[in-house]
Amino acid sequence: MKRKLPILLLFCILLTGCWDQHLMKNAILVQILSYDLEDNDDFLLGVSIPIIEDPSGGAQALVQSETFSAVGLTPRDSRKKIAREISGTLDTSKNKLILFGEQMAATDIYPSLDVIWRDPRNSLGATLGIVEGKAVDLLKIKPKHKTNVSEYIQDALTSAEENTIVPNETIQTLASELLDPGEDVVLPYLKSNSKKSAIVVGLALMDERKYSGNLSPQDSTLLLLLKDKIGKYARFTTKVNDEEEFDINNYISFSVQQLKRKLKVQVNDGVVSVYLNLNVKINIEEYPKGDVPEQINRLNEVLSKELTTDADRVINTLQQANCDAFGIGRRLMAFHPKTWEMQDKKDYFKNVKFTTKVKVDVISHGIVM
Amino acid sequence: MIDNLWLEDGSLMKKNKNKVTNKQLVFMIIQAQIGVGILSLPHDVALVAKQDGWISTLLAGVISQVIILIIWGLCRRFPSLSLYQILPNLLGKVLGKFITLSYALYFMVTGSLVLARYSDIIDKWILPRTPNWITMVLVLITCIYIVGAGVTSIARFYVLVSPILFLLIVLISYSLKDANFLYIFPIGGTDLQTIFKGTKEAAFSMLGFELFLFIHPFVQASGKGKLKAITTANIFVTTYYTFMVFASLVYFETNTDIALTPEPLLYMIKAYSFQVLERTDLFFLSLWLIVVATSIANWLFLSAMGFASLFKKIPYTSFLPLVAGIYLVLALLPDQERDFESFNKFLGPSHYIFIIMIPFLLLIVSLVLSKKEEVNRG
Amino acid sequence: MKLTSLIFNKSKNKDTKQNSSQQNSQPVQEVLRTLEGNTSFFKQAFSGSDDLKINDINVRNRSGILVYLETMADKEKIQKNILKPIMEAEPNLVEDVLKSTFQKSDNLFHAQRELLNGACILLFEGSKECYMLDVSISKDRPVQEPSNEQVIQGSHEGFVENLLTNLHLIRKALKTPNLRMENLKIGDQIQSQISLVYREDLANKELIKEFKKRIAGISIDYIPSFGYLQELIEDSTWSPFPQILYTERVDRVVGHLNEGRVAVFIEGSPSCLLIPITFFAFFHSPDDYNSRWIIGSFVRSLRFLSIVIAVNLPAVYIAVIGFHFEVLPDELILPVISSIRNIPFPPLIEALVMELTIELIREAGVRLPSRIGQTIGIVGGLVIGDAVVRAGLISNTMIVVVAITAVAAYSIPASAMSDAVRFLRFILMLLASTFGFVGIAFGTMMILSHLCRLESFGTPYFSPWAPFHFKDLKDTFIRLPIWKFNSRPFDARSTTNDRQSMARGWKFNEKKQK
Repeated sequence: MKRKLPILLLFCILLTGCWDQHLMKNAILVQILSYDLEDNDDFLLGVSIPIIEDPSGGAQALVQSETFSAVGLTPRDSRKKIAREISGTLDTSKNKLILFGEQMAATDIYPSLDVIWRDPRNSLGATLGIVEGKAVDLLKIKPKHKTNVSEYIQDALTSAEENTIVPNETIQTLASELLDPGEDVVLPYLKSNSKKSAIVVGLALMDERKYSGNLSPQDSTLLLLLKDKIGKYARFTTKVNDEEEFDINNYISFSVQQLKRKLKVQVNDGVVSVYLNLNVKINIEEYPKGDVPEQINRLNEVLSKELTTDADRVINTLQQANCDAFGIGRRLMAFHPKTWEMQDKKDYFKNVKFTTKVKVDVISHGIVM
Repeated sequence: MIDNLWLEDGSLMKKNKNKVTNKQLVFMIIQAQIGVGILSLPHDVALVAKQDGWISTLLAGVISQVIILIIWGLCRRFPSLSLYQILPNLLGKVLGKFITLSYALYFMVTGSLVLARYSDIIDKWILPRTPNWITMVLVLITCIYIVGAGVTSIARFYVLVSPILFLLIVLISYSLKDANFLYIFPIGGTDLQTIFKGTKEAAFSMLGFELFLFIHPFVQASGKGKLKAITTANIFVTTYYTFMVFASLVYFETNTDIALTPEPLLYMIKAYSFQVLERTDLFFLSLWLIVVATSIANWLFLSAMGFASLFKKIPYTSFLPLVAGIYLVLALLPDQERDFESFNKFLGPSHYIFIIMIPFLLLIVSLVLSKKEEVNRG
Repeated sequence: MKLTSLIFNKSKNKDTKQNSSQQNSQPVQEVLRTLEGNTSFFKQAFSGSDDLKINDINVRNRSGILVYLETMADKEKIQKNILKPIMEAEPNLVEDVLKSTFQKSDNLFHAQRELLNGACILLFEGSKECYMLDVSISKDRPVQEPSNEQVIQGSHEGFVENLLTNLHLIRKALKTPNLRMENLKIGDQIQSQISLVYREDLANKELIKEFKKRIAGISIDYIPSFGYLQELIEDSTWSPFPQILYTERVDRVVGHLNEGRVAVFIEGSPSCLLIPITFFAFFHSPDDYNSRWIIGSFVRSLRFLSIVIAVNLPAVYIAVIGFHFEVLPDELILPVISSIRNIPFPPLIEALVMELTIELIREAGVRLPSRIGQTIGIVGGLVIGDAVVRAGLISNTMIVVVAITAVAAYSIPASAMSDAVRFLRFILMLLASTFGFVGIAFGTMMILSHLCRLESFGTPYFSPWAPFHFKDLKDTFIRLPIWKFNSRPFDARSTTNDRQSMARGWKFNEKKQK
């Protein structure tokens, strides 16, 4: 009897139903969300959903995508409207990307992300991105070699991550940095070009939760190196000569092999100065002029100087955008809490004195001299 | 008399059924201590002690070690009697039975709070539309089944599921790759008072070692061996908790972010995806369920034992369904987070009374009256 | 109170049992003086059955009768072993011949029992004793490899239906005077013989006492096969898990006897029951020990993986499809969706249909002769599987899941364990379809706690995991080299724990010399 009772109870439970079942076959997956602000301050939500064609040959199904958008008060409100438009339940649990239009990003990105953090089913593995112009327009492009636009944009971002143009971040890892007063985030910056394809054009700099500036791809790479975050490859092309007639001979392309960064924060009389030393070992990938070993010292010198100038420029841009991508504020909080108390919590970064030095060492040059 | 109480049926094979080895004791205490609190502990501690929460957790471990010493001192004087038998022995029948009853009730309320918090988390994270009473019934049935088999089987089960604790550590450690270790600086930046306040929060999650008061007669070890076992368990749990708190402190920004996330550990692993699976938190939760079930089983065991010791010759197993029913009713009472708080407020002082005061007083009484169990009795 | 009453009940049972067996075995009917009397006794005892043959013989002027059951006795043997020596013996030596070759008894009931075993009875006029000789027809199956427990390498001997042959096989493999065989009889009306085999120097006396106690406590009219015996003596019949290992392999039994376990043979059954046994013994195969230890370990861990798959995979699949599809990675989610998009059934029904189909195919295949069985396999497996997907009733992925599960379940060496696993799967599937991962977690917890409370003759069933014995893991999930097995496993509770001290003494000596 003792044993039968639980079994009976169990059956009572099992027979009453499955409350939380939501079948995979009924779900309409959202793969990209886009947040835009209309000119009249209305909120515009765009979603890209995959459309699965029946497999004709029996193998993998062909996946296309379709984009819907609706205007609403908040992201949830707009989502309700889109859900009315399509049959089935919208499901954002496999969402991979959240794109902000420039206008939206310039106001505040945090409020529209709240719903993502609050709902337990939502994926926190999605990446954020900022799009030049309207984000929803990027979802509407029809790339030729890929039928699914979300896959296409994701691939573009992945390749940018590999090439150290954008950092590898998710909304989860960004959450702390967004909320931290002593650190700001940088996000991928995308745009759709005239040929109706999407390209990653560098980094968007955020001032707290607002979009405030951007960097070119090569500068983005340098910034990430300065942040000690290197992807699979980090490639640069720089001018090292002037005298050659044929312009292509004046340039050198190299990739970073090893990276050593030192960041030191010093406080003197309330003035914060940062010493940023970057030591990179590079592999020369392209140098048509040839004979690297001969010029190795000169190349080291010229490249070091060139990159130091670039780094100064990057930091200058950051300071203009008031984007503390290095987390200097956090360091102050951790090691100089008294100085931090005295700082202007908003604009402290503009007053930080940077001393940057990049040292380049050529360590290899491919299989020719 | 003890033997009679424990025999479930008359089979002669079960003569040495209710024995627990010293190693099993370690795991039983660990499983009793680690429970529902683990998910919310970093949040609770960080709310008070900010970046120094991990120091508070360490201190809580030290405090529980002191209490453990008191408890052990008491048990040492009565090596073959559980607290439920010590009480009438020291205080006389009437008072002893009264305190036994209040212990049973205290365990019942504590257990149902654990049950309620468990089903609240399940409700929030995995099964929002499944009625809470059903998840509670599910866990209670499982616990009745675990507990109904006697101490030895309970101990075996606890040892068997302990690797889960290491699995949870591995999952959490993985998320440290995205941690920012600057968040815990400046170390000791909050003042001592705040740290101690945080200790109070953490100490409640450490509870569970009082199980020792009730199972020590079944442990086959010397007094010192038992102390070693229970201390090992406490050190492990303290380290475990401190690691968990530390991990969430370096992962989340300590002022705003962690305050926004009531279950930081789940958040930490929610975003990670591996080659074949994503949403690691769902797996984490499923494993965590087992850890919680063991601690609910503990409370169930202790309260059923308390009731059984009030009556003669009724095995505790007969009380299990009844006690579980009361658990269910009690756990269904609170239905918002605010209710938990008032529940907690009510329980706060009773923790002090039942875990620290009474064992301490009993120890003093037994020292003063120099009452001690004859060694050859056991 | 409960305790005493139970003991009381048990002992009462024992008493009645002893009484009844007294009635059966003890009664004495002395041999009658007249041949007619004896003849009529046998005729009456066998109610004039037609196969009872009573022949008159006359040896040196002493008249007597030869009684045998035509259906049990071999006529050729009677001629060769009884008639020929008696007839040819010198007149004065007849008595000697009788004494040396025959078994004597003065009890006719004894003679009657022996008749049933195939003996031939010789009775003389005026003699107080009867002479008996076993001349039973032996129609034994030859010793061959059991088809349900085949190995690639190692001995190919298996038990047969004859108890003596089986005991002979054991004795032949374990040549030690410590090997002890005890014969017991059970069954109230029709008695079956069982034989208890163990190593006197190893086996735990408590265990043997417990076993005999349980055997003595059995009161049943007849035990036709080992399945009856198993259910009558095992600890918990409410469990899906087998708590007694039965095997038809000689080498397996010998191995277990060497670890201090007890083997039980029953007349007429080629299976040997081994006690006490743990959960993990069901996953061992003699092949593990005959292949290299690394390979053996790999194969063995594969089997444990297979039980996890066999129990959990369909449940996990149902939970993922019905509750938590967000756990699937992006690359997988679109192919899966495209495969299940047009399936009309909920995943539970889908899985149940397919799982039950596989069970049916198996059941049909087992009962049919092997040629038709193969056809059923092809029709069932290929045709149904293919057609059901084409018809859009079941998804491709479900077929994959069900097929993997089936393969995993059948890779468990012991069929009893494989059955248990296949049964548990359905419970987990139900739980998964109601609560998703939560249900699976609780189901697994239930199963684990059930395994923790099970015992096999006082030995924890889930040992060496619960209770945990690190030393015994050497021969559980993996198989370490033989020379590591210096102690016998804890769960067998053998009296001498040391098995060997230096299995590779030569290596030790070499080192020492250096």
